[in-house]
Amino acid sequence: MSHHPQPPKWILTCLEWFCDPYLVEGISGDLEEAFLDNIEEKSVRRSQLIYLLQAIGFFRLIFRKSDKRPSNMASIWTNYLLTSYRSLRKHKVFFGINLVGLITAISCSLFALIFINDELQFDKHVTSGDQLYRVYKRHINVPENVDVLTYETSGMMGPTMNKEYPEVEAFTRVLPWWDQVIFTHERKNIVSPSVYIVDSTFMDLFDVTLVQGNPDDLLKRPSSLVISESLSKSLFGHTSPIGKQVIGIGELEFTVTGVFKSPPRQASMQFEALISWTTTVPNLGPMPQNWMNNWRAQAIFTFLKLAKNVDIKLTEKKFEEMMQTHFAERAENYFLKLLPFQDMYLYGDEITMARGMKTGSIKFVYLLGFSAFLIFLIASVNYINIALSKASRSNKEVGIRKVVGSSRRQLMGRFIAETFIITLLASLISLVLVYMIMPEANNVIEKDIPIRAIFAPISLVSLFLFVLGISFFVGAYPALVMSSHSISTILKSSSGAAKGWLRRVLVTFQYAVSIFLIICTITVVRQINYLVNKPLGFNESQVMVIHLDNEVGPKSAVFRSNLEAHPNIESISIGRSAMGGGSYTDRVTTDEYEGDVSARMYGIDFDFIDTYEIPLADGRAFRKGSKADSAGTLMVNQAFADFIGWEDPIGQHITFSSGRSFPVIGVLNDFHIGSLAKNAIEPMVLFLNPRPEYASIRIGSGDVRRTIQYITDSYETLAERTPIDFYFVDQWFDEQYKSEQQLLSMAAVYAVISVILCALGLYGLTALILQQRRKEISIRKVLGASIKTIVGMMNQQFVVIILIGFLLSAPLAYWLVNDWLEGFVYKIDLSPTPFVIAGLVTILVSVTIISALSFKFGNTKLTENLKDE
Amino acid sequence: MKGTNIGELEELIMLVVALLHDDAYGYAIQKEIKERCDRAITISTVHASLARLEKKGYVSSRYAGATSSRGGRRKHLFQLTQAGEKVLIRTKEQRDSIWAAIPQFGHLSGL
Repeated sequence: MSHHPQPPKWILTCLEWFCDPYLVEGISGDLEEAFLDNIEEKSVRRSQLIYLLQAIGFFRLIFRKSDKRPSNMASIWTNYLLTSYRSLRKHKVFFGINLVGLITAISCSLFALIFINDELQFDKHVTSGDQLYRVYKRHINVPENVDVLTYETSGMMGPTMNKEYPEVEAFTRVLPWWDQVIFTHERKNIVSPSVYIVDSTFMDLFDVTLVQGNPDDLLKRPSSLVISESLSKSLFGHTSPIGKQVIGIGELEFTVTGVFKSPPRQASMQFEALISWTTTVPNLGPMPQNWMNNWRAQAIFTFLKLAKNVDIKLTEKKFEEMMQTHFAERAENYFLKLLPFQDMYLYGDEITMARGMKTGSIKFVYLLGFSAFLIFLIASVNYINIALSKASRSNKEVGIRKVVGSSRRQLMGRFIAETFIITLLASLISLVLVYMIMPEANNVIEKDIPIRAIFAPISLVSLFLFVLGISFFVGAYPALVMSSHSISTILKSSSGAAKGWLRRVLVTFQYAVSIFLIICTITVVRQINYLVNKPLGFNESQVMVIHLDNEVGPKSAVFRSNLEAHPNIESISIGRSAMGGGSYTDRVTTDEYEGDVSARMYGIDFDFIDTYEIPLADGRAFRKGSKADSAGTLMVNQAFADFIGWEDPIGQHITFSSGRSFPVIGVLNDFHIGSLAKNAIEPMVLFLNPRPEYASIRIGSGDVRRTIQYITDSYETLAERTPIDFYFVDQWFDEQYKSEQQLLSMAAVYAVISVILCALGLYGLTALILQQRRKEISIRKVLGASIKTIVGMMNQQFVVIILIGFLLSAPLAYWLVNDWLEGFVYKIDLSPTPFVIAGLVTILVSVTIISALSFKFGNTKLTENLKDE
Repeated sequence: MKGTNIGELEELIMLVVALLHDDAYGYAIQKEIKERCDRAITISTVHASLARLEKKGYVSSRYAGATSSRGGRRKHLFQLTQAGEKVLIRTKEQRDSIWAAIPQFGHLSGL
């Protein structure tokens, strides 16, 4: 009989675990008997199944073990939670400090995490993205002291690479159109801010999803236009746009050949319309642009698709050969390089001319992550410090628990539970907080992270890990210390104080971080102030610049006379260039200088210099009615004259790259035309060119709002389909410092947070130290010490700590700040001021807190402190 | 008296316990009910009813001596208590009196 099939053993185990032991024998016996009966008629499997089904029926309350009370462990844990709760309630101030600290730390970290995660997702939607590269070049010109990385390439590079090197599987050129484009269809005008001119391969390479249209005939023929769904909807409503005519760039007609789905939010290329490159090819398209299709002009962007596993360094070497064969005159200046497309968003910081595409910054990502980490550390230090100092108060509880038989592990559990409760609370509040500040934060950092990102799995999982991590790592150390003392030490004395040196090290560290952040913030503020306030060399206030396009341009004379009629308009200049736009670079030659000079070319009218109030250094300005000026004369800036080394610039001749040569009649003082952070003053040549592209208008001291209204109205009477597009010169300059302003707001927030956390931590720590030393201080007072002595005594130790913190952080801050300032063309000298201020602020805040607390304590009744034993 | 009433299944099981007399245990009761009434109930239902009846004091239980069958497990045997017998008898009397009072069933009352 011993070989007969057995019913599954585990079922029996379950039954034994669940059922009243008295009943189990009868129950299992009956089940087994039934099973034995069953296998005589049925298969073993079936019998086992019946056995299982029958057994399940016994899991009812009536058969339950009658003595199933809550286990011992459960009640111990309930007690831990309860005492934790009571302890938190009892020490409300410390609870508050810890809670605020943890909330700040978790919010900062959570926000940093969401931001970083969002940045890392950019351009990941393209399927063969790892094969795509963007061409950029290192532009070296030793005599002119030029060494920059730039995305500017020429129109011949892409096609030549594709033709001559088999590893280049495909290419597309991209020219983001500079201005917004107005598309017109049957009297409907829609302004589109981002239009790209691209090769026919563009949509395939970047995985643009086609909604309507023939995929084989989208961007091949000249004047083809592919538009986004939303643009199609605004222009054509619900009718199909395919084959329809639209007026676009340069008043030309385009044929809509397709509709695409707008690029996802996390794509660096955001475009609403694509125009075929062939449109711009001379002798082929209706909008011939020689410079987009030759070797010389460097203005367009090139993307390549390379074969899999191509050695990038080797390919870059081959491009040097290509330059030698096709564009030898620049082969020593231009070195073509490849940047992986998916790195373009975050790692393209150093490369200039990234216009027309969204960019991020890996530096900013690191900075944000690092700052959040520092805040996290400060808050953790506060927590550990307060927990350690509080240990003396929990000593009796620990002692009693030990006497009653609590193991060390259980005791640690008790303190970790306390950390867990507070961390959990803090993270829930943080979640709400981040939810509330997200729109504001998006504004500051110029992102559009959706609210739902907060509740993405990665955020919630990280939050959960924060809670666990803090509970176990931050909570574990104090727990370890508190549970380590032997029973006799704990119960004997009330001051089982935690290790003093560790606390000091931690506080020193906190101070070092705070001082570091303050120094950085002050330097950033000073540098931005310097950039914003440095004289530009002309009067930048109250100048409005209007971009005149094809519509108002031809009527500019009418526009001008309309504006001149207004009493509050002091001066108007209409020309090819204005501050903030319309200038270009040309290579010019002079008699005195060997080789050519790269000069910034400004095409202006007679009123330009007066309108901008640029002081004259030498010679004269362009004059109306001057015969010489109408024959062709030039002005230069001081930098140009200095570069060439002219002693008397007036009358010297400058030859343009076109071969035409003109005399210099005047020299202007140097003035800035771009961001002081990035652009040094270049040699500049100004010539008369009243081609109406920009109108610069100096407004008087009268009612500015009404004057602007008048200008807008005059513009609109002349423009039927183009809305006015204007800016103020001073605002334009301020906008050049956006990334610095962003950095400033972030540095300031982190510095303030760190100082507040530090102050809170210090407050808690001082209060606890006073508690611990209350007997010592009271005895000192009894023996005749004044309150002043006691306040001094308390301050002394912290001042030493602050000094050490300062000595640690100052060199690091000096190094980092210096490195940051190196990136600016115009920069402040690093003075000791920020260091002094940072040191003073921390000392002042600390001394105030410590003195206030000590003073209050020193005035309490001595007997109160001494009687308790 | 609500507490002294018994359910239909309980009544059936008590009857079978009385019937099986010295060998009334869960599985045997289930088999007996299946044979006599053609009614399939699970062993756990039988046990649950028995447990409830024991709580009410209508049956008592004990373990039989060790056997080599049933995997060496003893049988959990049940028998009626005095109270149990009384409840059964009273239930039967109540039914009979109602039966007798139904005129159209009159020809059946003598059975």
